[in-house]
Amino acid sequence: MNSDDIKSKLGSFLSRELKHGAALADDEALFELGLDSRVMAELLFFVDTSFGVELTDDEKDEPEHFEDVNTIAALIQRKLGANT
Amino acid sequence: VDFSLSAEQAEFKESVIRFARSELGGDMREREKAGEFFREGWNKCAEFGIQALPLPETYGGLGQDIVTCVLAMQALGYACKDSGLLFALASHMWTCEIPILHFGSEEQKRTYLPAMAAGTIIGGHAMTEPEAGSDAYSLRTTADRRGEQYVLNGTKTFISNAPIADVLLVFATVNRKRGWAGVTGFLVDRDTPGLRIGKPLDKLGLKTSPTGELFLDECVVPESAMLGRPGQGKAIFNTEMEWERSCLFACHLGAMERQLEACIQYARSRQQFGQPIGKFQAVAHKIADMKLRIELAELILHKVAWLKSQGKRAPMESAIAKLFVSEGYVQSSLDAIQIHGGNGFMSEYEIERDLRDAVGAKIYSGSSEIQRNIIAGLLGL
Repeated sequence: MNSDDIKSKLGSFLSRELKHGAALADDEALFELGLDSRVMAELLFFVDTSFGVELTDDEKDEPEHFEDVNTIAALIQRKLGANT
Repeated sequence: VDFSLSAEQAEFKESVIRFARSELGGDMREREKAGEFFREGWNKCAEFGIQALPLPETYGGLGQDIVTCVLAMQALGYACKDSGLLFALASHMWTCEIPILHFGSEEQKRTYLPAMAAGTIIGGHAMTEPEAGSDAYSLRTTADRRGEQYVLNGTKTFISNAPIADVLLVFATVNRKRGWAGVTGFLVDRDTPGLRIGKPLDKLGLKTSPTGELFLDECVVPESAMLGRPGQGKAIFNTEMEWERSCLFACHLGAMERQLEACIQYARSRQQFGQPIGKFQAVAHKIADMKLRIELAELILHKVAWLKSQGKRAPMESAIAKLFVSEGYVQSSLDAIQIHGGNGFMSEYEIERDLRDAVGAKIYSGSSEIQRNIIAGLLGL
């Protein structure tokens, strides 16, 4: 799965969760849209089931990974790369 | 699976029991009535090395692993009836020493840890606010950057050790719009201008553990007071909670063991209807259930400790342990009163105090409901 595919899937999911389905730019600040602990739990489950990527507890607690679609996608891609 | 303790661990646990029995007694009933912190007991714990247990020798600690810490706390809970003192120790050790050890700068570690290990300064932990309890990351205390400094403003409540603390780990947001990602920890010394500590709060139990409010009004701290990086508050909080949910609750396990022994002794000696009350299944089954809770609590607490000793995080297991031990502690305290009947209800027997001390365990360190949320969330629900 390439970076664009990952961003596209993440963007669709997060636009539903945070913007009622409205367009979400890849660099849009997710925390300012309300990425709270409830949405985080949904996001982590989505990442696990959609990409087969399970984040470590330390990764889950690091805000820098969740700034926007770009940073989440980069983390997923890094972990997918590490798994292959 | 090997459940046995090493000879050193078993001997250490016994030595803590002997220490607590000989040094941490005193007139607990009078201290409780007065709501008095057992400072002498605190100092004796420091002389013994309790506060130094989890810290490396470099910082004046004893460098003990978490399994040994859990055993020590279990021993203290068993042999010391002053749950308030143990609660104060827990706040100091697991929610102040451990975060500084894991997230502090070298300067912060050298400034605070040796004195905390020696018990000469007391640490506290300030997360809860009037409008941010279970929803901890919705806190409103702000930390505004002004040049090389941060200015803290806000109110904290239900802060363990606040009336006696020399340094407090205060959580504030550097950017409210960022929610949990803005939460940041700061080490604030008691004498910092702008920090005011309110009067001790009266409570149902844990009366010898001082609890209070903090008022931060234009409280200026240097950037070097920040613990970790901006937005690292969640990582700090989660790390310390895993320690607290195993080590503090090991004290409760010890208390449950003490209750069990008292109940067995009473059920053997108290005669009604011509025989010891322990011969009645209604009583014996309660005691069997108390034993059941102790065995299962010990298994899950030691599993958490083992996981952490392997360098692993244990959010699921520590939530299960916290939930199970706290609810078991309350139920066993109720059972102990019921078994002792009218005597159990009277203060003189020192049975009823455990119930009052236990109830808070279902609330602090994340309520039972929050633990179930954590478990469900980690199951993908």
